[in-house]
Amino acid sequence: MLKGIHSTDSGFLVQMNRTETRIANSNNQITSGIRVNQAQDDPFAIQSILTTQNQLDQLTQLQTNLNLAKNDATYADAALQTVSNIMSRLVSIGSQGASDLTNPIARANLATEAKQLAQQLIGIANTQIGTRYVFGGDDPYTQPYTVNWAATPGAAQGNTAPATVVLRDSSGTAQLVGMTAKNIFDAGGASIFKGAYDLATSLATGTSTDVSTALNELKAGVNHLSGATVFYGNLQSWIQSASDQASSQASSLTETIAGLRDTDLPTAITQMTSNQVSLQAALSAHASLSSKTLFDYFG
Amino acid sequence: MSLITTTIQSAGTSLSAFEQAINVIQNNVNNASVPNYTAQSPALASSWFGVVFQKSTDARNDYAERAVWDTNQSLGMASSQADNLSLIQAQFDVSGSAGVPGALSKLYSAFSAWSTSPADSTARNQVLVNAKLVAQSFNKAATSLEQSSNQLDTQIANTVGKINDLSAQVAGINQHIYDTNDTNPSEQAQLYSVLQEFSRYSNVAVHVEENGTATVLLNGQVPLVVGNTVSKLEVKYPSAASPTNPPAPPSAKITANNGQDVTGSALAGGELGGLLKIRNEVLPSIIGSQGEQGSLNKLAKQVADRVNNILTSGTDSNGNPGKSLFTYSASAPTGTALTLDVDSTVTPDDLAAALGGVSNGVPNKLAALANSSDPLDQVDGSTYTAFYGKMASGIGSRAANAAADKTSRTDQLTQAENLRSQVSGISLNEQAAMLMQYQQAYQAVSQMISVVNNLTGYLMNMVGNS
Repeated sequence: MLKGIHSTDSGFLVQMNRTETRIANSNNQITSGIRVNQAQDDPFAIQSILTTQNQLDQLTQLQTNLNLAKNDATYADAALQTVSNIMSRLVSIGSQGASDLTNPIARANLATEAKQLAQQLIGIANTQIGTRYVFGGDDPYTQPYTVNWAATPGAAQGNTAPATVVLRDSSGTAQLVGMTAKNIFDAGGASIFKGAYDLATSLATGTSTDVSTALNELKAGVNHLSGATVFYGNLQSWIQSASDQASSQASSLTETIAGLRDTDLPTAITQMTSNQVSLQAALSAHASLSSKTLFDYFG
Repeated sequence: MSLITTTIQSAGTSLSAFEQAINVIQNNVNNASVPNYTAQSPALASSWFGVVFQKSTDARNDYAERAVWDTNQSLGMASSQADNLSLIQAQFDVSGSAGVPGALSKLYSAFSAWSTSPADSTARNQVLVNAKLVAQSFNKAATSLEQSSNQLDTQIANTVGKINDLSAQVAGINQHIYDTNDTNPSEQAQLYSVLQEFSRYSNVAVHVEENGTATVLLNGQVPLVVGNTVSKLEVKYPSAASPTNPPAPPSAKITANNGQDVTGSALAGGELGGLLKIRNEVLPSIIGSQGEQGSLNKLAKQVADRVNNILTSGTDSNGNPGKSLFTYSASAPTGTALTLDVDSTVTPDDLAAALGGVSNGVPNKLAALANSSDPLDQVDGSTYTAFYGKMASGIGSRAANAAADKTSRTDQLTQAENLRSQVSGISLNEQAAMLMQYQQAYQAVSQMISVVNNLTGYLMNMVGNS
């Protein structure tokens, strides 16, 4: 084995390989944009990266859930607005019909209109988005009501499922996301269907007293309807708040994970440049080493 | 005349000695690049019949050699660990979007989507699909790690074979030294090359006798080579005395020629020590062994049991209790990850959503597994994703430490080899200077012979003329 300048050649090769590996790693980080590609790149950051990414994924799904709920709430709110307009007209009809001054022909016309409006209310109770009934409660695929003018309240209930579906926001707070058609349109003591049915039938064959009774039922229904409107209004506000909260958290988590996982480009570029300069200097210095010995000077 | 004759004889002896000295220099120069060939120095002595050549002295330094061997053993251990841990860590996803953590995240999302529409068949079907992905991700992880274990078994067998081959080589050199009753520098270079390679593979203690033969002991205790006798090592896989998990693969054991278990000695250093450490300690902590369940199996079992528990606590749309979703082999705790699957008889309609009067109580509870602080939803105080992260982090730490150790030991070995070459190596400049010295001496003695020869001729002429 040699002694002298070139006895260190193996050490030089080791260091050169090491420098080239560092350059390759820096280049990989720069091109991929990812600093942590495998567990040993930063073992202490792995758990945080995985849990943060998981939280981000769940927030993304939450946003999807909130968007669906928002869509349903918007539809429901629009439907209830229409119901409100219909109820106003029915109250007006009832007021006219309750007057003894209304002639039979006019009463008959009012009765016809009231019946049409009553059946329109049943249709609104069956509002759909695709194949789902907005007021279907826990069973959105079963039609809530069908028209049954042969008996009060003029509609037959087809869906008896309650509305217990809750949505949770990112902090875990739960919120009911809907009301059933039964609760809105056919609540005990304040049934909109009954009020409209009784008005139509009383205008057709009843007395003014009957019409007045139906009118009072309608007014009770209007009060009840306002409660439903408030519910969906509050629901929309809650959804918006939850969505904003989720967006804010997602932004924060995205920043966190970038700090943990992504490449610090200025640092990586500086390191790579520095290593390249070192490599060039080492190659140049090693090449300048004299390879001559005393034997080369023998005559 | 007798003095002249003696002078010529003395000069002849000296010329012979200088020739042998020059021959030593020549051998040094010829073998300068041969690994482990140390500088030989001609030893000349003065006698009444001229300069005589004694046996050349060897510049080999025992301390420098042992420093190289010790460092080489440490490097061997660090290298085998770094190289294998680097491969094992690659099987752990660290992005969160693939492997086990990615599959778990998708499953949580499927639960969450299901919660918005508990009666929706598409959402239910997605739960089944993503549950299957979770099972497959655990299967794949377990299979990959078992393959790593099998590859380690192969490496261990190859390393033991290599150790036995090196033992045979040392014994062969020892036998040659016995046969010739002599040792030459080339043979010693070969012996020390083999010993250096030996040190890479295992933690050996070497004693070089005065006659140049070597005795090699594993960890200074177990004979591998004594004279021309080889004691071979073997790899065996005996079942543990009282296994907690009998069906699991047993640990690798190294036995000596006499059947003695020398695994402890083998673990002490060298590539064999590094391989055994990973095979018998690192991998079993993840995939299990006859003595432990393994963290991957622990996680798989907890995920399966908890999801099943929540599902069966709910009721379906007909009021029937929910069915379990995941299955695994309960008779083999170390096979949980490998055998985890989704019950093929479970249909989307079998997924019970209602719980506690809430129609989506079950999917809500399942979705909450993603970040739950309830101990029932955790493994050793961590969420499932965090627990997996701990596993990956543990392997990553080991890999990083082993890589750093390998770097450090490589530098130490380079330094030790440089020191050895500085102490025992051949300097071409020194050899050239010595060659010039002996060349001048040879020329001087030759000139002496020429002068004495001329004197002899002159005397002969004087005698003839008289």
